[in-house]
Amino acid sequence: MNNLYIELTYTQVAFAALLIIINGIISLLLRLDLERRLLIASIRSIVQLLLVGLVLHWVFTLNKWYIVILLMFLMAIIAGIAAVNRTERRYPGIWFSSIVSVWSSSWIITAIALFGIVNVEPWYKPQYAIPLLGMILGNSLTGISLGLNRFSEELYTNRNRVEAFLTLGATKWEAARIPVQNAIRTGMIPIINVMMVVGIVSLPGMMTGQLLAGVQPVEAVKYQIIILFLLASGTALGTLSSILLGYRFLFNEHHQFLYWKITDRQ
Amino acid sequence: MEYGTVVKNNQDTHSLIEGIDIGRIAPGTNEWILEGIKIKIGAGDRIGIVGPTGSGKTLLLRLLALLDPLDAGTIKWHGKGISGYEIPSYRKSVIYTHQQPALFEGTVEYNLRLPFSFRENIKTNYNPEVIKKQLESVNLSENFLNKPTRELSGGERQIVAVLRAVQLNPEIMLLDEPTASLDFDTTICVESIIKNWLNTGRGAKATCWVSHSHDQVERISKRRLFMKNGQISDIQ
Repeated sequence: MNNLYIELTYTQVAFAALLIIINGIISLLLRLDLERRLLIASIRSIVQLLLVGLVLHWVFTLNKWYIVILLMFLMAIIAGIAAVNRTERRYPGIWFSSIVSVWSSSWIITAIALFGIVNVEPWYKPQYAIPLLGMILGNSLTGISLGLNRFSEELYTNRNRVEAFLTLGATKWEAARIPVQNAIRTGMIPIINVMMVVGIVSLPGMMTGQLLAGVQPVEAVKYQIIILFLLASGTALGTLSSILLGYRFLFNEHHQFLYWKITDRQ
Repeated sequence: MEYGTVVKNNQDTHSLIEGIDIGRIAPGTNEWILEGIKIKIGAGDRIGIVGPTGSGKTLLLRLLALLDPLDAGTIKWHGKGISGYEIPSYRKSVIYTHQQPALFEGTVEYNLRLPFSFRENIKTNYNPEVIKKQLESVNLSENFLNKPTRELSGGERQIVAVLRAVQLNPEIMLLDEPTASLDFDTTICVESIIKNWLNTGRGAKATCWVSHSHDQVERISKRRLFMKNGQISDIQ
C-alpha cells in the first residue's frame, strides 16, 4: 500500500511553489500591494512545513513514548494560547481556562481514539498519535476561541441584563445561563456545519491525504467518519470546559458578577 | 452636618439592613471610592439620597444589594450576617433597580413572569390580579401586557422594571434614579407604583431612593441623606 503514491522530488515542489507568481501578477496588475506579504507567506509556509517535517521525521524515527508525550504537550499548550489570541476581550484566568480546556479535551479524546477505537499498538505510535491529536486540537481551538469570544462579549454588552437577574433573586448560574448556553452553542456550530456538508461540498483533508496515499476509498471514509466524531466530541468538551471555567472566574461565591474583570484586548 | 452619624435617627427602630463601616476600593487601584459608611435602614423608612454625580450614591445602593463585593465592613440583615448561599434570598427581599432598566426580548408579561422561574421565587406565583391593579392605578390597560418590550418608551420600560420588582413583594426597594430621564407624568406613575406596593401586603417596608430632583426627594422621603466624595451625612 505504501508504494502506491507518487513520491515527489524537490523540483516538483519548487515548480508548484512557482504558482505563487499568479498571485504576484494579480497583485501587481490590480495594485493590491500584496507582493511583500505573498513572498513572506510563501517562505514561511515552506520553512514551517519543512521544519515540522524534520521534527516529525525525528519523532517517528525515535518512536519513544516520552518524546510523543512531550510533543503532544507542546502542541496542546500552543493551541490553548492560539485560542485566546483570537478573542477580542480578556479576563484574568482566560489563558488558564483555554490552555486547560484545550489540553484536557484533546488528550481525553485522543486517548479514547488510540486505546478504545483504533487500538494502536503501541499506543504512542507517532504516525497515529500526532496527527489525531493535531486534528482534534485544531477543531477544539476553533470552538474554544469562538465560545470564549461570545461568552465574554455577551457578558460585557449585557451586563445590565445579567445583573437584572441577580437583583430579582436569581443565583449566579441562573443569571449566567443564557450567555453560557449561547457561547457553547457558538463554539459547537462550525463542526456541526462541517458534518452537515462533508462529502458533498468538499472532501476533508485527511481523507484526501489517504486517497492520495493509495488507501481504498471505503477505508479512507471509515477513518474520516471516526475523525469527525472525535472532532465533534473534542470540540464540545473543550468549549464546555473553557466556558465553565470562565464562569467560575467571572462570578464569585456571593453570586456577584465581576464585570470589571472583562477588558478589551489591549 | 457630621459624617457617620446616620445611625442615631434609627437606633430605636428595628433595623432591616445595617451597613457597618462599609467601603469599596476602585477595582485595579488602591483608591477608596466609598469608605467607612455607616447606614441603617429600618422598617418603615423612606430614605432619599442626594448628592453630586460621582459621589458614590449608586455604589452605596449596589453594595447594600450585595451586587458588588465589600472591601471593608459588613452588612447585616435583620441583625445577622449574610452567607454566600443566602444572597439570592436576600436580594429577593432587598431589590435594587437600575437607572437604565434591563428588559428581555419578549412581551411585558414575559418579563413580569420571568423572576418566578428562579429557584428562589419558585414557591410564589405570578399574580395577574396584583399586576392588573397596579396597571389600573397608572391608567394602563391589560393590553399593555402583550406589548413587545422593544416597542416600549423609556418611561414604559421603567414602569415594567419597577412592577417586575415590587410584585415579588420585597421588604426594601433600593431605587437608583428610576425616573431620571422620565417626564413628570411618568415619574408620578412610577412613584405611585412604589406607593401602592408600600401600602399593600404585610409588614413595614422601606425605600432608599437616589434622586437628583429635590422636589421628588420631598415627595418620596421622610429622611434625607447627602453623599459627597464617598462619604455620607444626614440632612437635618
